[in-house]
Amino acid sequence: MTTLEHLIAGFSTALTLANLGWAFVGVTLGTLVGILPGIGPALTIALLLPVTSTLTPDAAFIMFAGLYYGAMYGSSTTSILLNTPGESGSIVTAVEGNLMARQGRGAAALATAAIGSFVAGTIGTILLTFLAPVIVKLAIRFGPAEYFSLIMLAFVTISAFLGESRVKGMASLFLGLAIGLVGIDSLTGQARFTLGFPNLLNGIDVVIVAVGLFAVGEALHIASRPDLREARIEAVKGSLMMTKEEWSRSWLPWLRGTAIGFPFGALPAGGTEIPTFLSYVTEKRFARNPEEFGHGAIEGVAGPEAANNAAVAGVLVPLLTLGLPTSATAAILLAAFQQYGLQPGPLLFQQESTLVWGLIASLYIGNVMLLVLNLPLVGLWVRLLSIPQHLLYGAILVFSTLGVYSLNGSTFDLALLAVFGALGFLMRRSDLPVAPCVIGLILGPMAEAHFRRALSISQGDLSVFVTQPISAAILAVALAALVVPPVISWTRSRRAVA
Amino acid sequence: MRATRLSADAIIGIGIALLGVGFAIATARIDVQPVYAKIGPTFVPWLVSAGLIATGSLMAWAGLHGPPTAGHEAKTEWRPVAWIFAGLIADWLLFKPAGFIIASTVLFFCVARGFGSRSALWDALVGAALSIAAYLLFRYGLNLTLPGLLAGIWR
Repeated sequence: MTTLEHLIAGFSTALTLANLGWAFVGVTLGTLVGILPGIGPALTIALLLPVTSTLTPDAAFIMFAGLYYGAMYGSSTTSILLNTPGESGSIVTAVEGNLMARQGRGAAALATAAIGSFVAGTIGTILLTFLAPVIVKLAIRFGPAEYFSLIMLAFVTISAFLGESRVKGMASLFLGLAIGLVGIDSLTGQARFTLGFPNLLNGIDVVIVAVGLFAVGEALHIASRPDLREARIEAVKGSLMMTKEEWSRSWLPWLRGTAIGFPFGALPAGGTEIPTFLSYVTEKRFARNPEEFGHGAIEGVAGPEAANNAAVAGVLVPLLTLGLPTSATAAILLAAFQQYGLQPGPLLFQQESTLVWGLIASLYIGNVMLLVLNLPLVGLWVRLLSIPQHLLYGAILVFSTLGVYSLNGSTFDLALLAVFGALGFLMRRSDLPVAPCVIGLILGPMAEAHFRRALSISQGDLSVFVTQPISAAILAVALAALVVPPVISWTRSRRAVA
Repeated sequence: MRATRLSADAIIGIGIALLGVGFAIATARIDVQPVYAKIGPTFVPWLVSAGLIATGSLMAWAGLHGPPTAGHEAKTEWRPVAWIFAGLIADWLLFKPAGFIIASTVLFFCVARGFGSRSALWDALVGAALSIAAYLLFRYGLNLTLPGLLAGIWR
């Protein structure tokens, strides 16, 4: 079957009444958690995992994907009206969009963000549709050595590009890898690092770690910092119908933002933050009146908001075709696949073609739903922002403990939740990025298994990773990503001294 | 405020390095069967231990000697942290003996206190209402078993 035939079949899955319903639940929940500060898509999907085990995989993933897209739409509303980003991908919007809102142009900012998200989300989904089969064709020949090298590349880029310093990114990654080692070794049955607790034999569930690091860690961090607790909500002023001038100033930034965002998501460089910053800088350079930037320029909202949605679509490419998550949410989605006994990768496209293409088709539908939910109905969502912080975080933590407990029905997990909450708090205090930790936790055991499998095929010969051309090329790129930037900055600083 | 910032990095760096030492000691104590002697269950743990020690030490060193990072001059309040953490511990200890509703109400109350709420009775009421709603949703809507309200009553 051609890609188009697959896509049409996918639409016939996604357009059933039940699946439309799940897509709607997903985008609505996504918008909700995107708008609420302190709770994001990774956390929400993690909390839903114990509940969704009763759903069919089609329904669950259609809902999760809608949730992931929806969170990006919703977070722009929070960024514009409250000067705190709803999610990390909206940091730029929290500056430029909030400035627009303060000048009474909040409605225009909301409109360009929502329409830009729609344009970028749709183009991103089209790119995903046609790129995924190509990568699948390539990846079908990958063996354990290639997968191991790919994971190494993801580790290097994720820890190097997320957060303020590579050392901190690496430290976070190694923390995740260490947590992933706890439990029974899958190849030999040997118990490792369980400290004698039988509850740890099956390993530490990624849900507990994610909920601890995100929900509990964030609550402790916000509560400890009086400067983060106060926020002023701007009322929506102006017209949601953009003027002709606003359209003409927005459409190019949307397209450029998409062009910047999608590759960043698709490459294992990961994250939605960097493309938004890049897009902002690009728009400032192209703008007819760059002096407006920093005082509420519509281009500075349109570009980054398109970039983060395109990046979200991009992230799904390596996740679905290679099983390689490049953001915290994608890591949790991978855990969700594993919960259903599914492994994303080329085989998923062959064996679960209905699921994959139904999921992709539902993204197109979800984008349309989100445009409607977020533009005409934005007034309803804005009311959520007036929920007092103490009630919001109280509720988040109650649902967090509920979700964690229902994993295994064990209060041991609640104690673990407190431990990882404390870790998340400490990490935030010293600016250790949380995403590498979650990704390391989920990819670490896979990396170890591929590594040892590759070596058992090669009978213990370590050179297998560099003698196979694809694996060697990937490792070379990883090495370059690790070594080149520090060398450049070192030579630059030497030149500056000399 | 620079001093606290520096020491936070240093302390956490040292903590990560010590964790690495702990992992290395635990790795040394894993039994390895001779069949797996070459690349066995301890190979990756050794690498991870080394990575923790290296990154932790680098962080600590940078925290003690490096230039201070700008933008972290905000002050920290510890009382809210203590409230929330106490809530989590109480939730853990009360969950089975007192049931989900009481444990969650206590947790909600503590978190609300931590976030500076001043109306104690109102917080407790909202917490109890939320907990009961969540209990009913999970117990009857989703068929998940939770410890009910006190042993023997309503489960």
